[in-house]
Amino acid sequence: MIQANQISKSFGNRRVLRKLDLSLQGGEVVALVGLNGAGKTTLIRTLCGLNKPDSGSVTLDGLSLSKTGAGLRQKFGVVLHATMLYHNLTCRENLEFYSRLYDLPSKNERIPELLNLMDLNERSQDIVGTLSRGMQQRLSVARALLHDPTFLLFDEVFSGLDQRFLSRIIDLIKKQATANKGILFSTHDLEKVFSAATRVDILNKGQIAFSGYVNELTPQTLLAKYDELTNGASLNQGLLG
Amino acid sequence: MGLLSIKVYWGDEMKFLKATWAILCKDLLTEKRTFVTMGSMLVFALIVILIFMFAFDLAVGLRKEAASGIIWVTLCFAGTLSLDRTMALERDAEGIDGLRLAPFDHTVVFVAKVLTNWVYLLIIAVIVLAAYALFGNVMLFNGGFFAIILLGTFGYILIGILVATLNMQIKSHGPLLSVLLFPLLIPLLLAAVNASSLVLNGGDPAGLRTWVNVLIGYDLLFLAAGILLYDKILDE
Amino acid sequence: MIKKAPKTLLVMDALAALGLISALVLVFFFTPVEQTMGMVQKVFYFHVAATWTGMLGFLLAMVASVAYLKTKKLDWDSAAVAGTEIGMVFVLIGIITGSIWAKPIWNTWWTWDPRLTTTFIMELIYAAYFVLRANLTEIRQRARLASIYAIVGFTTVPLTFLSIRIFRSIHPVVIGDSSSSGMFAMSSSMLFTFIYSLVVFSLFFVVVFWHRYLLENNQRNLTTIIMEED
Repeated sequence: MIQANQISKSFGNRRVLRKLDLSLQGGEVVALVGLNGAGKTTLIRTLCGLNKPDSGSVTLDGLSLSKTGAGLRQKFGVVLHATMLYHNLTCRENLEFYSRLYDLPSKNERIPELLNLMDLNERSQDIVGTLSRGMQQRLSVARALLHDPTFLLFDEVFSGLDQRFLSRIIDLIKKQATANKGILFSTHDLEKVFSAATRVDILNKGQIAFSGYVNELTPQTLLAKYDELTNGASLNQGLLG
Repeated sequence: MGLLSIKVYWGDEMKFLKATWAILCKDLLTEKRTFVTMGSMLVFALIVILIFMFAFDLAVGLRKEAASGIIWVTLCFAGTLSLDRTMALERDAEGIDGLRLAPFDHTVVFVAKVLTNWVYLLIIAVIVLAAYALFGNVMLFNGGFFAIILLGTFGYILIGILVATLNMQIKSHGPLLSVLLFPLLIPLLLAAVNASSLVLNGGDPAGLRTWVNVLIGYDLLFLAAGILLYDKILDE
Repeated sequence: MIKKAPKTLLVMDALAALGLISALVLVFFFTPVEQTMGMVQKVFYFHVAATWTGMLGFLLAMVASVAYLKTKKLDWDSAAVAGTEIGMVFVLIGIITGSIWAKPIWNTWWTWDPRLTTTFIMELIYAAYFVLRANLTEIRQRARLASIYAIVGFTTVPLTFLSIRIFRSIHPVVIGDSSSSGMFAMSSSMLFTFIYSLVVFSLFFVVVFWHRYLLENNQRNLTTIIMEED
């Protein structure tokens, strides 16, 4: 279980997270919802250790992320807005590199498996720089899954993907949850909340302002709650799923 | 966390080496495909040598004496290209986050980058030597000189990667690398130039020993500094 | 937590001011005019004091940088900034007074003397430190990277000094008359004034450092308070 305890984070003048608490367990799928600039990316980065909180702590199965050795990072698979892919190498080469980095043999079965899942077989020998944004995003997901991480953190993973892959990713998420992995994804789209998540957390003003189980909510009640918290700003963002 | 993690890894040295090897291969593969680093270093180095030769239109007798200084200055400047490029590689793909997420002490990145860039610089050094020898019609191939080049370039790359990684995190990272790096290179430069000069032109062997000691000291110091501090540069 | 200067500091401010004035008085009225060098020798009292205390500033900055990396308390970063800044200014005073002294004695504004050259390089390193800081906006990242640079920078200084010294011993440069090496015998009044100046400058340094440290802390805390109000 990942546990964030009272984490605060500021960047220069801006206070992004304020004494935030959040937990993610194996088998859970948490949808992180919030306005643009609310801090979803910062929160995700802090959960996997890319950013360190100014105060508070993040623990994984009781071990402090900042104090324990780097080996703990093996348990995370992260997809961010930046793809973390090398543009001068091919898809396959990128995956081979990341395999080696995570101590897997560079020619392992996960690579063709994941390329297949993300429908990138045809382009596997193509240089990443020549791929479209959507394809790069898919490859990034493949990269994140390579080492079979226990926790998946997806930051706006659905953006830029067409319908076919949206449902494929949702299926992927559900399957991972069944395999007792913990998944957290951030999204603007309330529809995704109801198709993929078991729990929804609303990030507002630096804290988890609301947390509810999806099976106890309806799109309307969620939207109402969201509006209430953000003072109707959601309407301007076209959040209606 | 650098030192502590290194302790843990003595049991995991294979993994550490594997990860270093992975990064090394990736960098070399990229270089093989694009030839950007070596290409630009080569052109730049040759132009600089040429400029020096014109600017200091030296009498034949002086060319061997001046060789040491000219060659080392050229290498210092050309080296900045590879330093900048090697970190830019990570920055372009924001691959640096990919490396930061990997389950390793970031010293892995340090070791891999030092090795690749040292190789690039050595190759350029050999070409520069040959070019100078050719243009200036002087004999420069000398075992001792090669040894000094090995020591000097190693020290350069060690501190260069440290500073380049610091620099990479700044938004306007390009021009600052030289500003941050060069004042730190003075002892290295002095030692390398003087030792090379003594080796090429003959001179006091005790002096040579002293300079070589300075070089070795510098290399060891920044090897230690790199291993201890590098992790902190990339960790938040 | 915008802190005002504590009473102790204010008292020290007054003492330092008095000290500097009295040191000046001593230099001009109490000490004799040196035989060979004349009036210009009086620069010596402040030259040495400024340079030594300036170096102290850099050492302080190095220690503070290490402390920051270990404890992550931003107060140490403020100390590093204050130490470096004050150090740079004091050392600059040292270099300028040194030049003023050198011109009539050695007939040159500059020499490649190892100490002087190393000092100049140090100033460059610390100027680079500020350039680095100026280009980083995020507080913790700036503190972390600047600390590392300060540590690496300071580490090169002994080696720089050593290598220039070796360089100079192999390439001795004759600068003017060998008898005018810059040394002179000190009478007891000179010695007293010298030590007095040293003490006064150290006090002056501490006072300015402390103010700068408070200023840096206050600036940072002010932005935090503004953030809290959101």
